Amino acid sequence: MESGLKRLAATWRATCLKMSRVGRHGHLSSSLGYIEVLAFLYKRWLKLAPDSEGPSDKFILSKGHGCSALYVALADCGFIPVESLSQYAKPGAQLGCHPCKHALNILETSSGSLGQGLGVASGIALAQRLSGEQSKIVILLGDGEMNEGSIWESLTFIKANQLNNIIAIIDYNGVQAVGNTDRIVGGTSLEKKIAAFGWHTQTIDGNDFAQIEDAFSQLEGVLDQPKAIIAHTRLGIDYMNVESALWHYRIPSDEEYDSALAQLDAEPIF
Amino acid sequence: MRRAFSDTLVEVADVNDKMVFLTGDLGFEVFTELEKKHPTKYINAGIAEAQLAMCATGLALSGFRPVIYSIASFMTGRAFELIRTGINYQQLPVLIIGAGGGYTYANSGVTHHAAEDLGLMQLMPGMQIINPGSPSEVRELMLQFFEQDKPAYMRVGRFGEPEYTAKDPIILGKARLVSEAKKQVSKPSVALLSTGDTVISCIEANKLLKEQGFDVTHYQYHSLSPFDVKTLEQVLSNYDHVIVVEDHFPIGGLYSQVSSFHAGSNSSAKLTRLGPPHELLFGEPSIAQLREQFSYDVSGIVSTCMALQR
Repeated sequence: MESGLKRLAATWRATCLKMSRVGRHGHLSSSLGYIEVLAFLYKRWLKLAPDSEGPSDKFILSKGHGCSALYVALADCGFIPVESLSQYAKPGAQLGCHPCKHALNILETSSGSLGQGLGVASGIALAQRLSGEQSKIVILLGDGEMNEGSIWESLTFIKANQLNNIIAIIDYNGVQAVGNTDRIVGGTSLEKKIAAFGWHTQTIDGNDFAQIEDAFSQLEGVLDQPKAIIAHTRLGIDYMNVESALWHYRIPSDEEYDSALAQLDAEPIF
Repeated sequence: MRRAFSDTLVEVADVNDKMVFLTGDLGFEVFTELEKKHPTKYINAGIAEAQLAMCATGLALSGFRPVIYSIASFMTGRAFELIRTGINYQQLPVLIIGAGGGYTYANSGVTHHAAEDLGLMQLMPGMQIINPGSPSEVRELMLQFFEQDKPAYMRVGRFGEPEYTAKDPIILGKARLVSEAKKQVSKPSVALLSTGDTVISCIEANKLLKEQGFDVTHYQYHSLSPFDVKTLEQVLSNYDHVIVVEDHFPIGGLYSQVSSFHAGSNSSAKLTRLGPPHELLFGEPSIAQLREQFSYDVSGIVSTCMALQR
């Protein structure tokens, strides 16, 4: 499994880089880090269409600014035309720089304002319970996003109401828009905090497919708790390091783009 | 109005299995019947207004019709951005309830004052604003809300407000003619425009005025959005004086709507506003004291109208 997904991750990264160049839009570091997790979810783990057993699984990108990777996944899985990626972040585009359900109805929700995906997921989970159906509901959050107070209201509500089909993944790339995540939260442990809210927690290397697969397979046995995976991530291109907040905003230059593609040994899908 | 609200929730839940009610830990023994009859449709989410709005977003995205409930200042102010982004941006049919809007909780201090609730909600394009003044208006407007699929904010006052009779039925988005002055009886001609529970003071004032031979027309604006411009246009062209009586800041409520429309019209009607000023009100006054101080109680309305005759 690994080598195929590794190739796919390289291709998706190359595609995100091209989208940033073509759309003249940054937020690259917000997309590149979680590509392995996304590839595993969309290609291996999520049920992408409803069947006789029940509805499709739900995926919510709570950190909406990191959406170029999600668009690539949707295009690669046939939900949107591959050509539409060339319109990313352009005026009037269906693929906005923050996901808008009004423009792209296949999204579970619009996002872009941080700290809301988990709460929205709680409503979807509650609706499923009231309707007598169930699916996996996966929410991808940023580590910086965990600063938001609303997240902690949702963590409490989800545990209190035993919405145990919710799985929160935190893309822990260690850097926020203009600061270091750990420093901003005073070095407090995200895993300990979430565990204290009664959630099942795991911390993994979010760029390692073996660890990702192992973490998700462990979830199958956890029936009585909502679940969180703290995925430590890197951007996957050597000169784009997570120590620098630069890549939150920057668009790669010609040289950087060429060297990244060479390093990835991959071509964009459009 | 609170009782009418909780009774109507049960009435809706009996027939609409998509209704879900979430309270922000408010309503001691008010929702017992709903909880008893429809236990899965009553959820106490805790003192977490943001979570109320986000959870309602997810429920509505899944086809449900959530109603979220907290004290007006917290429901609108604390959760504003969650309402704006989750509910209103996506135009989801959530009913947002602010209990005790305006100065209902005047003596609880500034934390509990909600004289900006209607304004905050009204700033969002696509949000319906409902400000009922009687138990029947609460019930009727709630039932009409469930017949359509846009978001709405509704202010719900206290317990025990009286019913009143009016010439017009209760229709969401339409001003309601409460009583009409006999033509040519009183000079100058005056129209009172009430919203929310100021309807009651206006009715009382109107009775006293009649006893003194002063006949005044009275409309109740229980809906601020959609706003009944057509009726306002007629009022502004048919009356010499139009008096708005509101329990809200002068910005963002009924007076804002009326005065901005008036500014763009050819009407020569003179506008007067009775209501609290755009000021922080310290000192924990009672609601009765406040209404007296700022002349939006019965005697303030009467004396304002009488002064117009001199």
